[in-house]
Amino acid sequence: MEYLSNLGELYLSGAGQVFTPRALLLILAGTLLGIVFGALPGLSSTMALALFTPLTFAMSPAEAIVFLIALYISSVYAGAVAAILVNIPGTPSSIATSFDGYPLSQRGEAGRAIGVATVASVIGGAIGLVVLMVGSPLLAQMARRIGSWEYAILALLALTLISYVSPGTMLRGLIAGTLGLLIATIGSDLILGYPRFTFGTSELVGGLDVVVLMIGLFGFAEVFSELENTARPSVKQRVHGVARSVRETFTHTKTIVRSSLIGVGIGVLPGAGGSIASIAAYGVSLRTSRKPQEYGKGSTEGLSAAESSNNASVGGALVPMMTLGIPGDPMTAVLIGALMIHGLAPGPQLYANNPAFVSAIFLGYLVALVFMLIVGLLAARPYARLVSFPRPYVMGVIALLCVVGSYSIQNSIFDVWVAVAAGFAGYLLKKVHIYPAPIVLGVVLGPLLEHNLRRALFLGDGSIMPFFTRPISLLLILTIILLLFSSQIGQRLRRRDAGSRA
Amino acid sequence: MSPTLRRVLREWHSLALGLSGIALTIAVFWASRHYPSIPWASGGPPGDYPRILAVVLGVLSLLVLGQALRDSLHGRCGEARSLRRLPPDAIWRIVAATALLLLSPALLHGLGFVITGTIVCLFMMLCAAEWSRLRLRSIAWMASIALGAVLALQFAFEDFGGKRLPTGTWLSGGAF
Repeated sequence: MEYLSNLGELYLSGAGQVFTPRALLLILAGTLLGIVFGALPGLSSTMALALFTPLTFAMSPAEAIVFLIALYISSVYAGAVAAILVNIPGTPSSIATSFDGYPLSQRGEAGRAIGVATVASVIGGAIGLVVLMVGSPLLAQMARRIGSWEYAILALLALTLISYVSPGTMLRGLIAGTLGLLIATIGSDLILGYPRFTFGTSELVGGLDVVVLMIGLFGFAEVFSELENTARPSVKQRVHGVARSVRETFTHTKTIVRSSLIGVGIGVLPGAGGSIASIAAYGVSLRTSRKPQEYGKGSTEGLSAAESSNNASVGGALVPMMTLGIPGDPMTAVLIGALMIHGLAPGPQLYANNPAFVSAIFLGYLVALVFMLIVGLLAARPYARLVSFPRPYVMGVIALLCVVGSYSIQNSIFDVWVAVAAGFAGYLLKKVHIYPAPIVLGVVLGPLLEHNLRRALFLGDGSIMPFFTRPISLLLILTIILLLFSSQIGQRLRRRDAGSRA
Repeated sequence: MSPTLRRVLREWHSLALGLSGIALTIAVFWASRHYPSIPWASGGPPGDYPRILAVVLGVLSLLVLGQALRDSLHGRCGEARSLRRLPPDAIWRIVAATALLLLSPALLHGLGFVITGTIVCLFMMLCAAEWSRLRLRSIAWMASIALGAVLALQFAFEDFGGKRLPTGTWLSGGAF
C-alpha cells in the first residue's frame, strides 16, 4: 500500500497543504469558533460542524477538513468550560467533567479546573491522534478485503450499536435509525436511477442532503428547544491561575493515558461517542484511584480522566469514518458529508488514492491541538464569559446561520424548507424520546447499506446465503443478534442467579 | 372516561409514535405500489428495499404500541410523566418562531438575504427574550446586532465562502 511505504514523503506533501498561512489561519479560526460553540450551553459540536460546512466550499479539501476537525475537537474540549463554571455541560461529552469541575469552581478554583481540563484534553486528543495515525492505515488495508456482504452487515451493526447506546430505549433508537434509512431512500435509486418518493418534485430527485438535514435536526430543533426556557446561567466564579495548573495535570499521567485509551476504544464504536467514553473512563478512574473519596468533590484526577477520554474519543471516531466510511457519531457523519461535497469518498480508497490528503488531515489535527492548548490556557478568562452571554442573541444568530447554511449547500430555497421541516420534526420527535443521532446515522449509512445489500444480492443471484456462509459476515450478524437481545439475556441471567441464590 | 382508558391515554406519546410509524409503513407501501419489478440479475426491484425498511418500522411501531398498552394496563409509570408541560408563553414562542421560519424561504426568495436575515434574526431574538424585561432600548440593541450578524455572514459566505446569497425578486433590480 502506497500510504505505508512512502510515509515520509507523504507527510512532507501533507505538510505542504497544512503549513501555509491560509491553512493555519483556518485552523485557528476553527479552534476559536469551536471554543465558542462548545462553551455556550445548548450549542453542540454537531451543530457547529453542520453550520460551518457550507462555508468550506471555497476551501481546498485539505483546508476544509482540517478547519472542520479543529472546530470538532475544540468544541468537544470547550464543553468543559460551561460544565466547570455553571454545572451545565456545554456538550454531551462534558457530562462527567461537571462531576469534579463544578465543585472545584465552587471552591473558587475555576481557573485551576479549566487549566487541568485543557492540558488533559490536549493529551487525550494527542493519544487519539496517535492511534488514528497508526491504526487507521492498517485498518484501511484490511478493509480493502471486505466485500459487499460484510459492508452491508457492518452498516446494520453500526445502526444497532447507536440504537443500543442512544438515550431512551433501544426500541426507540431502532425506530430512529430505520426512519433515517427510509429518509435516505428518497431520490433516485442508487443502481437503476429510478425516482423514489419524489412525488413529482424535481428538487427531491437528488435526495435530501445530509448536511441540510443535520442543520435542521441539530440547529433548528435546538433553537425550538431553547425557546422553551428563557432563563440563562450566570457565572460568579473568577477565572485565574489557569497556566499554573499545567504541572499538576502531569501528576495524573497514568490516569490520563488509561482514560485516553478507553476513550479511543469507545470512540471507535459507532454511536458511542465522547459522553459514554468520559463516563466510562471516570468510573474506571474512580475504582482504581488511591483517593476515591475526593471524587465528586473537586478531584483533579477525576476531571483529567473525563476530559482526556472525551477528547481521545474524537481520534477513535475518525478511525471507522476514514477507513470504512462509517460514521462513529453525528459529528463524523457531517465530516463524511463535507468530504463528499469536496468530491472525496471516505473509506479504504481514500488511503489508496489520496494518501497526501490523509496525512494533511493528521497534521492539521496536530496543529489544532497545539492551538487548542495555547488558546485554552491564555484566553480562558474571556471565553469563560461566553457562558453567560445573553441567550436571545445567540439563538437569533443560530437561526440565521441555519437559514443561510441550509440555503448555501446547493443554493436552494427548497433546502431551507427541508431544514425548517426537519428541525420542527426533530423537536417533536425529541418529545417522544426519539433523538436525532440515530436518524442522521441512518441517513448517512442508508446509501452504503442499500448499495452493498443490493450488490451482494445481485452477485449471489438473489440468494441471501452468502451472508451466513462468509465468516466475517456471520460474526457480525451474531453480534447484532447479541446486541438486540442483550437486555433480555441479561434479565434472564439475573433471574437465574437470584433463583439459584434463593 | 374509564380509569383504564385514562391510563392508556396517558401513554399518548407512545401511542402517537406507534400509530405514526404504522401510518408511515402504509404510506411507503402505497407510494411504492407502481415501482417496477426488476430481476436481481438486472439490478433488483427499486421498491423492495424501502418496503423491507417499512416492514421493520411497522414491526417496531407495533412493539412500541404493545409496550405502551402493557405498561398502562399494568399501571406502570411509562415515560409520559417525564414529559414536561410547557408554559403557555413557551408555546407561543415556538408557534411564532415556527411560523416565521416556515415563511423565511419565501421571504428569502422575495426580499433577499439582508432583509430576510435581519427579520429572522431579530424575530428569533425577540422570541427567545424574557418578554417582561423587553424595553425599546433592548429591542434597538437587538436590531443592530441582527443587522451586524447578517452583514458579517454575508461577507463570510459571499466574499470568503464564494457563495452567492439571494438578492430578492420582489425589490426592483435586486438592490438587497
